[in-house]
Amino acid sequence: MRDQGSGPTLAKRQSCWLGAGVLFLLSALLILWWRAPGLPPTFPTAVEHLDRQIWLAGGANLFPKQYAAFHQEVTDFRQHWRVEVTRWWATWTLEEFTDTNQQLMQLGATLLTDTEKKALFQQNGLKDSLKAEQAQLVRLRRLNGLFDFRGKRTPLSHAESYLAQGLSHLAQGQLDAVPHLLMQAQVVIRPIEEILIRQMIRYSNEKKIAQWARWVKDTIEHSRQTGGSAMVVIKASRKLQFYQGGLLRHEYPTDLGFSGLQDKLYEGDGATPEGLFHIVQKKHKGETKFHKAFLLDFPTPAHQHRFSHARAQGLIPGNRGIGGLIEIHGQRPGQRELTNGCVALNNATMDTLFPLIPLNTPVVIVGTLDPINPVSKTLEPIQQHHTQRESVVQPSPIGLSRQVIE
Amino acid sequence: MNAASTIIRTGTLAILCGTLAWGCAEKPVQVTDQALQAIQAAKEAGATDYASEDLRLAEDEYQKAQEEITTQDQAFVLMRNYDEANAILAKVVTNAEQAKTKAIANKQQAKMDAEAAVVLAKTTLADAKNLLAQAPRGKGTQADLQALHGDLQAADTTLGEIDPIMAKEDYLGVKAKAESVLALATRVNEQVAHAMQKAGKVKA
Repeated sequence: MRDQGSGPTLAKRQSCWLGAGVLFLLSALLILWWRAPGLPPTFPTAVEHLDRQIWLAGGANLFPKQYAAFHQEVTDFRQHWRVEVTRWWATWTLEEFTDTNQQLMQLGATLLTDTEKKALFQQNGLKDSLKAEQAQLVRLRRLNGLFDFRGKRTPLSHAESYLAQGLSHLAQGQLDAVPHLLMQAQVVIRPIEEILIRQMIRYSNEKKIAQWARWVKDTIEHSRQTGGSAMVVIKASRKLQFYQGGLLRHEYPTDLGFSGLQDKLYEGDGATPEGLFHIVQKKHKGETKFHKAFLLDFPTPAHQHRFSHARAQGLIPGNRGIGGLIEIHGQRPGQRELTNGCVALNNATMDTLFPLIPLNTPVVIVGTLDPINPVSKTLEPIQQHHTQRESVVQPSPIGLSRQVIE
Repeated sequence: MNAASTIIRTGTLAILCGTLAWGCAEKPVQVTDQALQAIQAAKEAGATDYASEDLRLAEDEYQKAQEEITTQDQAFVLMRNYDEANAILAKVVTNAEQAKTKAIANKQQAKMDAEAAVVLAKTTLADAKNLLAQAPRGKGTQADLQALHGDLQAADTTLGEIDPIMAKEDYLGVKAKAESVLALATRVNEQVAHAMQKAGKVKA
């Protein structure tokens, strides 16, 4: 009985399992079919590579918001893909996936181009700024020996060192270090530049040049009227003109002190005084250490008035006096410098002039007679760079310039 | 209980156990730690400055591994699979080790370059000092000489700043300073040589 009944039941059960198996297989095939045109099994690396390229080009610093947004979108895109590929059924079609990928690729390509352009612009901008400051340093250094450079030489060398370091960092691709070095150099250069501009500006001042021209004209006129001698010293071109009877007889090259283009204010400033003077003493060989010399009547009342005014304003350092012993003289044997504030001629010129110049001969010393002179020509690019920089540079931290400048 | 039923029960139990064992896959904690340690080691070797691209690649892969782990964590317990995460983390370790190797090599190269630049700067500065001592003195040279002394003073100061940054292993900074010393010293050498030539002295 048992055997009779178990046969059909077993067969029924086997059929049931077979049916379930077939159903399972069909379902699996259906799922596979449904997923067949689905998402790629691996995430596209191109968009990730692009993300990295933007970062390497400096996108995170140059376009922080845009880069952060792009990076987040790539992350979200990948996360979305990851969720989709682990699902039994997809909610994202291949077209949607491809579209998103293409959009991100386009967005990334634009951001990469912008980043590279901005990085190059920034790099070139920094390089140009460093080079412009180097050029300004060269211009300022050319004034060494013409204007007062005391306490300025070593700071300018430091500034040059900062600029050279900046260029080296730039060459090594370390852009981050450059702006600080540029600023350090500018902090040193700016106050020195301002002082020198103030010293030079007289050579572009029309009123001042007109005054100097008037002094010269009056002196030559006096020479013409009296038939006597006169000397005109033009500091910018370093010339001494010798007049007789109002006529120019000779022109000689001269040397001045270490800041000879400035107007003398106090003892030891190395400046050559400007104004109308007279020869009060002729020093023969043996009476001066400078071969031969003409002593001028410096200080005149005008210079004394100017000195008193400057002292009252606290512009005279220490207990310095007004100075004196301003001469037109020859060369001192073995001396490094010809003069410290006088007008120096070579000995042969002194020998020629000495017998021709009597006592009380008028001497006029001026900066220039020409509005376009060597100083104004030098001043123009210095001032131009200064103005340009001031229009873009923020004020420097107070105290840093004092710390650096001697 | 007949034989067929026993087979079915045993089979079901085995499938359940197998599924549970598969579904209860462990999070790759140990490999994550290894990956993090490898990244940290690369950073300590200077990869941030000397192998930034490789380090970034390792960090990106690490982020991907974390995303994969999060996805698996959120999946149904029986369906969790950390194989992909493990594979990515293994790549992280490889990339981080590569970043470390490259960083060590690049840093060593940077150190050698910096040391060479310092040697050259020191030699040129010493030459400049000797030459300046022999510079011709005469008409109109005082201001120039003072400017050149200023250059050497600034070069000395910059040279003095090199040791502390060398100790900090900032070799790119060392090279920049050494090159600035070299620039100042070279200019002094050139100007003095020019002045000597002008004065009729022959440069030693």
